[in-house]
Amino acid sequence: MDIIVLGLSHKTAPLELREKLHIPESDLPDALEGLGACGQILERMMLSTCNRVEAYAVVDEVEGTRRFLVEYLAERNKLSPEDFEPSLYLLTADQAVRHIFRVASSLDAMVVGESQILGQVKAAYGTALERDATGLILNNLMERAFHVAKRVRAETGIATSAVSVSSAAIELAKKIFGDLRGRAVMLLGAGKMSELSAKHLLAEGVGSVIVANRNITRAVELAERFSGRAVHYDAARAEMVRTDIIISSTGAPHQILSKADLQEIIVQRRNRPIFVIDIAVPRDIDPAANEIDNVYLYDLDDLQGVVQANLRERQREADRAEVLIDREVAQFTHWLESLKVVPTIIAMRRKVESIREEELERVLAKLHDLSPEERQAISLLTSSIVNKILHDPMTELKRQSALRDGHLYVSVLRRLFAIRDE
Amino acid sequence: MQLTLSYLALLLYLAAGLGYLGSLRVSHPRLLRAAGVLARTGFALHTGALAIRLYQEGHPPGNLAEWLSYYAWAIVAVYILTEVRYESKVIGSFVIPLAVLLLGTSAALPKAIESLSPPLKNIGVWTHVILTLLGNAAFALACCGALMYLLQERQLKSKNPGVLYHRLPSLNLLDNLCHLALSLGFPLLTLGLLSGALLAYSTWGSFLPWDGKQIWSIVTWIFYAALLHGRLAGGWRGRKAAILSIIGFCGVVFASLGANLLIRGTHAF
Repeated sequence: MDIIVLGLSHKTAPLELREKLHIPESDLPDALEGLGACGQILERMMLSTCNRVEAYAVVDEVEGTRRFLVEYLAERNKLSPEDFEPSLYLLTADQAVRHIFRVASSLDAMVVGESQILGQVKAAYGTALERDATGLILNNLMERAFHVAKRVRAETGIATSAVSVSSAAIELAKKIFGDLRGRAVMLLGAGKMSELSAKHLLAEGVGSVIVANRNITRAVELAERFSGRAVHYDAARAEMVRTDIIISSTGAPHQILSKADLQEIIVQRRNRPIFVIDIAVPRDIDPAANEIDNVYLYDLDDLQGVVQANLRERQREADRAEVLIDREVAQFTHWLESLKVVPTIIAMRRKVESIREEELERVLAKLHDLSPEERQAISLLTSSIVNKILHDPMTELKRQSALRDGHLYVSVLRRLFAIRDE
Repeated sequence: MQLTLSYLALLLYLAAGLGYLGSLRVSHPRLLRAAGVLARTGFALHTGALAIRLYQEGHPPGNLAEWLSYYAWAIVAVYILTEVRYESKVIGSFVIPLAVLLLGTSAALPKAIESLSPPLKNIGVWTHVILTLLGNAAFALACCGALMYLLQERQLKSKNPGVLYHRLPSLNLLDNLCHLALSLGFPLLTLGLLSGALLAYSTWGSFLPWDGKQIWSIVTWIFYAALLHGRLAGGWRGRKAAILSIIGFCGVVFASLGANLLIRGTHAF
């Protein structure tokens, strides 16, 4: 009995291939049933997102299952196995467990620490659960995976830093101003990117948004969307004294704010800091303005730099997460091992007990004139012998089941005593 | 007994300090929490040690070693209050090592008190000492806040944020912290100077004995007065104020320690 993971992801297959094998949510129950047709598959679930298509299963026999799954996927998507087999990976035992933990914790994602994947895994598991496609092992495994994902998010910094340009801008603003509530924002020019940043800022609770544009109609249009004010471009300068965050993205072919301009503004602001995000190409603001005390000027490259730095930070935290996951995998494997011993012990006792009863009956049938006490004594004798013989092996088996090679002991015992799998 | 407690407190502060510094490198909330607990426990022991000493000896700090120990205590006390107010535990990574430095130096210095003139054992002295101590602790906190501000500002200006960018709080918080500490420290320093002058009068008959310590304290007082005025009225905030806070604290340190070691005077231990 093995846990397996079979599938492909953004790490092994390009988008064109992944989209061919993608299983839409509505088709998932169907696919689960299709997998159920294979006798070797005891428990199953399927996960299909834009970045991966994977099957998690508990199976009797690995190779047969693999062939079945490949054929099923080929047939279902009208492909031939050669088309996608090279991109498939097959993981078993603790490698499979580790992979599932890593996927749920977003360590296998395109952007480490992304938040969508956990919800997607939970949804996929939910569907499988509804269809009774899972069992004891997969249920425990997935519950454990969700717990591990929670731990990783809570105990490492894997998801705390900004990895997109617009969220990096917000992160920077927070590092300058602390709380963004009540802050004044100005949009110079009314482009798509500044709109996006403004939206994020509003979500953080900024106090007011002013849109300044050459085309006043466009400015009014945008300002309305943010419940803000629109001013004509020429009036913007006066408003800047009251502005904490400026997002500049005009189409101007030259600089619209010089270092001297910002020097004057900061003096008028009595040195209250100002955060200027220049996402225009060519740049709207003289880069030398960053040299001014309390002026923080970032252009697109700078924001990208922050994103890169954050990605490196995430990678560092991901390494710590791997250590955490290693420990969880060990714990889960331990639990799995302990599972195998219980039914074996039960089966052993049952077999031995049935032999005892049979033999006892047979001999008592031949001994006619025995008193009840004597029959009792003989019965007790057989019990006693059987229990004493079994005691040492059962104790040792229980002890071994907690160790690495426990499953070997279980297998050997089952084979030696011809205990059939039920 | 009190010596053992002091050493234990020092060890706990050291452990806490390492914990705080470690958490600058690695984002681990449990580590930060543990460091906080260690610092508080160390503080409790430190308080015990000082209380016992007080009960046994009954006089205010009589030599450099004692003074440093009290100072370290005051700094940790002020810091714990800050942690409660600001929720950002990262400040500990600067304040606690400072406390370790002070208490460690205290432990290394000779404990003997040379001579204690009788007038030193009265309430007037105690008032002066406590006011000065708390004022200095507030300035130490302002200095730590200023240091952190400069570090975070460098991260933001360089466009190449490192680990500190994530761990340190916002510039706004640090600037507010610095300002708060200065606003507390200045009145305390003022009262400290006044109580000192009164004490000088009652002891030696003159408000201004003009010893090294007093001179430097007055210089420091003028400096901080200018700084606070600059902040409130002149828009001195951010980098400028931070650097001045650090310079001011150097003045404080010099007034407390250096003036004694370099210039002989009535204030000397």
